[in-house]
Amino acid sequence: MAKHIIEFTKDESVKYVSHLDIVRMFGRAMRRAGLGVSFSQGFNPHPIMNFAHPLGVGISSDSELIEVGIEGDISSKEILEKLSDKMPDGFKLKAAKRSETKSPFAPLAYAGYQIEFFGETPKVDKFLAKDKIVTEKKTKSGVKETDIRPLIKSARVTEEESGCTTIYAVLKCGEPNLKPELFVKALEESDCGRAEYFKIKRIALLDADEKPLIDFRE
Amino acid sequence: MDKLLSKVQKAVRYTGGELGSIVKDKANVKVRFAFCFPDIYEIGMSHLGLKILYHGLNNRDDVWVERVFAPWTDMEEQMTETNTPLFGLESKDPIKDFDFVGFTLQYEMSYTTILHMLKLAGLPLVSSERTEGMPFVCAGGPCAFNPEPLADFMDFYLIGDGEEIWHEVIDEYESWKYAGEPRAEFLKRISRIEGIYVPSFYDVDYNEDGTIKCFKPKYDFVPEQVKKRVVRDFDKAYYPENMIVPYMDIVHDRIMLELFRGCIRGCRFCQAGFIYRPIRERRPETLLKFAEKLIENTGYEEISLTSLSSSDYTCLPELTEKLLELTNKSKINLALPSLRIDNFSVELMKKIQSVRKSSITFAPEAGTQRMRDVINKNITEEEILYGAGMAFEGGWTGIKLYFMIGLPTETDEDAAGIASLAEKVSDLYSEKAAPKDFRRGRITVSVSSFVPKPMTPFQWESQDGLDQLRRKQSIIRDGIKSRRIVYNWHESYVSVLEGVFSRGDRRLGKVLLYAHESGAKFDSWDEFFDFDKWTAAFEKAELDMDFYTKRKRSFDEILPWDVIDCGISKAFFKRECEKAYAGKTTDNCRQSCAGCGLMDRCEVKNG
Repeated sequence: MAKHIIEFTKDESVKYVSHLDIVRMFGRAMRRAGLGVSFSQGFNPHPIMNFAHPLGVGISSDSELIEVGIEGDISSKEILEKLSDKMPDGFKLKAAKRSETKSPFAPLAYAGYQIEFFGETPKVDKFLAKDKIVTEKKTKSGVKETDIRPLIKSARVTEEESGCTTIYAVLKCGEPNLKPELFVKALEESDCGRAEYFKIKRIALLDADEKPLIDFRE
Repeated sequence: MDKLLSKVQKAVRYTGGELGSIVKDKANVKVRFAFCFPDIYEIGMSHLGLKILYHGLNNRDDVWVERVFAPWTDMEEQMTETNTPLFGLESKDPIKDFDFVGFTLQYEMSYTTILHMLKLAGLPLVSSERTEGMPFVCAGGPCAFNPEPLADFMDFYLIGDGEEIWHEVIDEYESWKYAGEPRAEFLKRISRIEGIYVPSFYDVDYNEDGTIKCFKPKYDFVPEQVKKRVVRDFDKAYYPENMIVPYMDIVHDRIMLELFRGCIRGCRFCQAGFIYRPIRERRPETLLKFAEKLIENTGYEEISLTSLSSSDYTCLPELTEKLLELTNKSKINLALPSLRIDNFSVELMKKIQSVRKSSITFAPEAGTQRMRDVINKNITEEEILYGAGMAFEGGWTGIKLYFMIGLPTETDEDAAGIASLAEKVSDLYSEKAAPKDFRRGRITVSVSSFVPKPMTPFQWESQDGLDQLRRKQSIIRDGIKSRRIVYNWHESYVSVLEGVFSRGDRRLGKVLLYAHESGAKFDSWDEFFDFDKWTAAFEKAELDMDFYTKRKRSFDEILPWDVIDCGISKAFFKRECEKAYAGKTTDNCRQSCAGCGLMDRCEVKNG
């Protein structure tokens, strides 16, 4: 058994597929590809499959990361080829490599999101200038008034068209975590914009230095 | 579209694009067909008939079949608000622009959902109001064996097996379109195809008491009785080698393998047991080939045998042995529903490690031997207890027992028999179960209300009213003493309406229309079902529910579904009904032929 890390996309067409459904989809795709997923030892064996960070329903992504245990001596390149053929439309595999460390996703600190904001132009600078941004946030102990300002690393407008503003936001990812939907909600609550409709895409998973969490370059 | 989807729950119900779903270039197809299942995605996607027709017809380059399910209320609101008509999952194009809009009729309580979907599609509900250029609205499936309640709404029906008849309908459609003939001509063309019923080609006259006086074809080329379609060579019949693999969890989320169609048992209450006759089996080699392909193409983690009673498959030991080799090799599960509990099946289940020894199911259907003989459920108490004993010894701690009340000739003793049989099973558990499991034992008794169905020996029977059913269920409840027994029964106003529509005539079209206008839909969902809406609809239509349910018909009454010939003779049904009254059983088809009327097409009879 060897562990491999695979980078994949979740396109717009499949953005409503939930995290749990993606887990199941991967199991099925690997079975179609004839790849034997390794199972954990113990009383209740489960497939060895770790996701760097689950993605919310309704959000697409350019860069999702999964670590899987695969039986036999097979190269990452071969896995990439075999599995690519068997993925449903909307999930594209981008890269794969051997997982060398025990917890490759542990350094995860931030995620970068592209938010397409349809409505009047949001005042991102005004929003970020606030000392405190208090909003209702789901935590482990229930819904709480939380200051999310410390969870926003950066945010800037990258493109402005009539009716649609594109924001790139780097938000805390992991523990604690800031969901991009909550970022939008807080922006609206702070009177810094109102979206008739918005679209979110995850662009990258980043470490504390805002470098890609996994470097796939050889 | 995405704006809509961003506001609804489980949007993945409406996005399509799953593995195995088929997208074509609409410029390159001649016929577009909306296969509509009148319920939500999770339920509709579990339906085998959809898989067979979807893949079978999409194999043709000239046809594009898409799926359509009933949108849940949140999606319906969004669609109404944004003026988005009901669309095909694959193309997102409005189905009102398709050539065919076909519904599968799996249960009577879906009828208002059909009207609801037609409305969402922006199509006239009533067949006679649809004009040139609109799709043909049609239906098939088990409930189509009494097509009359929906006669006003359907342009045509397909009766019986769908595998072959659809190709003929589509071929005829293409030549009709090429000829540029008016809409009515198409219906005339297909009414010559065996299995096609065009309700508007028949006049129905009624007697003063509301029964049917006569049923007359309007044209001489229209058959007096429409013969159901039967696929003769079932082994060579189309079966999909690929199935759509949904992203979301659906009710039956696994590979299905249909071993055979039809049933040899002849349980007198069971419509499926008669309308799918004659029994036709696939060879084990054929099934194994399908299984292999389906495992490879879908990656599913489970494969399930589907048939009315899998134990009756003649090559079951051979098939399961080879299937187990296959599933072990691919590390997937084999599920075996609808197995009779006998030595073979218990041994088999022991071999399948994946089967959790939690619960096993029996359907004795009735509590006393007399009652079981009446319904021709050929199982004795001894056999039930023997099977249950084997299961308990084998380590199973739970057993589910299914029964019906309201059966013809049923007495209070028969109802009480349900409780005493459950008690006996409970005692047996105390005797056979391992001491460590003693407290874990659970016997679940589920009792449903019998609804007489067309094309069965009980098609003439009166249905028990709710008052009678309540009394019988309290007898059962009082008879249950063991704390190990869990008793499930719920009062079912739905079963009254199911009774009305299963044996109803075409006058009920008005009732359906009124119920639909008052907002009835998803009637099989408890949270939507509203009996008051129905009472009002019947009043407005000046029709009486009791006429359809609580009335024993005479053998020579013209029944609404007499226009359909299911291949089984009325004489056979009468004979079976009389034998039921006499408490006499009938052999299964392999023991001896009871002469149901399908002898010329029967594999058991003709080898």
